[in-house]
Amino acid sequence: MKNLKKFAFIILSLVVLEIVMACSKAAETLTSGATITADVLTIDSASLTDPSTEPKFIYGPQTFSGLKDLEALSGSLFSMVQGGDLEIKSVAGSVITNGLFTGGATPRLEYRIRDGVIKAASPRTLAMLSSMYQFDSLVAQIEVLTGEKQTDFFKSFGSFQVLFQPSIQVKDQDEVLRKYENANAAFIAGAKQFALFQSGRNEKIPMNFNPQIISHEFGHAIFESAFFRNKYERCQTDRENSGNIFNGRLESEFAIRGLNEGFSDFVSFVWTGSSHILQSSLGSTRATSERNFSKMSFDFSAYSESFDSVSTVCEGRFYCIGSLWAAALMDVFKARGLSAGNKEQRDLFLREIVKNLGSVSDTLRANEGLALPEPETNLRICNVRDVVSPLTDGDVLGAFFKAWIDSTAPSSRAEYCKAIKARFGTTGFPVSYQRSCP
Amino acid sequence: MKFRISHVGIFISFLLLAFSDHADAGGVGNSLLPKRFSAAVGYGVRPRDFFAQERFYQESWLLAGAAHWSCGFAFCEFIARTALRGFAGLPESQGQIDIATTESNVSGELGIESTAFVPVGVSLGLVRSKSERTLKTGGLVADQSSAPRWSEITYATSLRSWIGVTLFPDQLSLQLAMAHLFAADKLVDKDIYSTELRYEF
Ligand SMILES: [Zn+2]
Repeated sequence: MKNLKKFAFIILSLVVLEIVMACSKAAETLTSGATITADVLTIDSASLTDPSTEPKFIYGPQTFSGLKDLEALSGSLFSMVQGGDLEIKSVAGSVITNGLFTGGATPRLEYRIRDGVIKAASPRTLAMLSSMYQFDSLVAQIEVLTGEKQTDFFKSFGSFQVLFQPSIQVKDQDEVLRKYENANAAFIAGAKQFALFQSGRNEKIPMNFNPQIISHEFGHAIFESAFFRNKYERCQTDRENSGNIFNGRLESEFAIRGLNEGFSDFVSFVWTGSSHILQSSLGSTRATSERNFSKMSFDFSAYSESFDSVSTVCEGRFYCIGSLWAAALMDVFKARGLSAGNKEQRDLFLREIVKNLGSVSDTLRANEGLALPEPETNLRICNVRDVVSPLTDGDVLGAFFKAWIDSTAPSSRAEYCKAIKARFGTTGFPVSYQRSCP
Repeated sequence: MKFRISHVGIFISFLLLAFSDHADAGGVGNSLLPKRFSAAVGYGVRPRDFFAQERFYQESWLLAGAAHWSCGFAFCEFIARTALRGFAGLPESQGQIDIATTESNVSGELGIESTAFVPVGVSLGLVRSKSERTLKTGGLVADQSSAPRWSEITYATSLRSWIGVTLFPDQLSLQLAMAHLFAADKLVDKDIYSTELRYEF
């Protein structure tokens, strides 16, 4: 019978164990339908007195605008997907121009709730919540930023997904992968998805949730909407790409890819108040200071003519064109007496730029692309050039700038002409394209 | 979770009931006093999914003490064990913002071991885990969150199984153990693998 006592002892222990489990305090939960507030990383805009400096950041409670389901990190217009496989076929800077995403799962959030505030319990959840807060705020403010109604802007998005740390598969080109490792966040053109990759251990503010980087990527979505008419076209090799305008003509141009990056950097400035986009993540390097478009040390002539496999004045390929473009926009912003520290004034200016982008796109595409220079032979067979070509790029930029000047209000033409001439000179803004300048 | 505890509990109870019937018939091991005691030191790892593309193994150390009773058969023992486990810190970034976590746990378990061929055993237990999370920020980030440091205690039931080799009979053995934690809480990592050196006396 002694063994029966042992048995009883064990059963008793199990009962005690169950009671302990049942009594352990139930975790705080959210009431359904309530707004979601979480500790996230945001920009401390008040810390900026000069747009050319890096901002400071705040970690603290913020309330989401459109996030409905915390566990799925989704709202009516967007959701986050964790994991999955992203096959990258081609990439230009932080824009994945051809990619296919499969798989993925509902995010695995690790958090606790304290006094109604969601607190990340792991660095990964910190990244998920903070990046999602940026997307949530950008989505909520889309009309303020672009002038377009939220429903209209996102109509073409289908399901707007933020891919969190997908596995990257790169097809064929090792070259692509090598370049790619530098990007920690990307916009997937056409599919209109955002991808956030793993951060490097030595990034100061992890890029995958740095508001400066997220808003840059979001800038690509705005550019796609305004300039690529909501439909990013890839160059197709299986057809004869004749004439001045064909699928992927504008998308593939070295200069246009640069303008896309510069515009996105400008969107980042509008969002945060700082033009020093990379400093807060990557620290002080040549690459980060090259991108700081309110402190440019070169113009287009210097960049494109100092060329010896890589430019000696700016190493960032088409990003250099982008920085010059963003600098020109900044010149106009300042010439109008607008204040870099004033979000309303930055938003107002961005709405004007977005509107102009749409008009420029229409002008360049009109009459079979009559306003555009003839494309390079290589571009017709979809061979995308990755180094600057002063003459060709100067012509494409010239056509873009002429259309830009034509589409701005006559009262603004002088200030745009002045800024573009100063940044691009006659190489990037050839005299033959300056006819609309007063 | 309760559902699972009950199922495993009933299974083990039946097992014990079967043994106790035999024991009563044979009249062996009629003492409530442990037959002997043991102490163990261990090294463990648990896989953690730190990033989507990066899995790593978090190390831990273990100290355990156990009491052994005869279960009525030769080569069969009941074991009650208590253990303390400490985990190595998680990788931290060099950046301006990060969350550091420290963790240790205490467990109590009841099990059965057979030494007929090689020592093999299974046990059911309760794990009490204490973790502390600390928000770390550099000069670029002002912390305005309500609590930069918070600790908490979570409970989980565990099912542990082991297999070993006897180095010196009734004295020293080396064991490989796997413990699975049953917890609905996503913050509880589920599997721990360990190597333990057990000294019996
Ligand atoms: Zn970009």
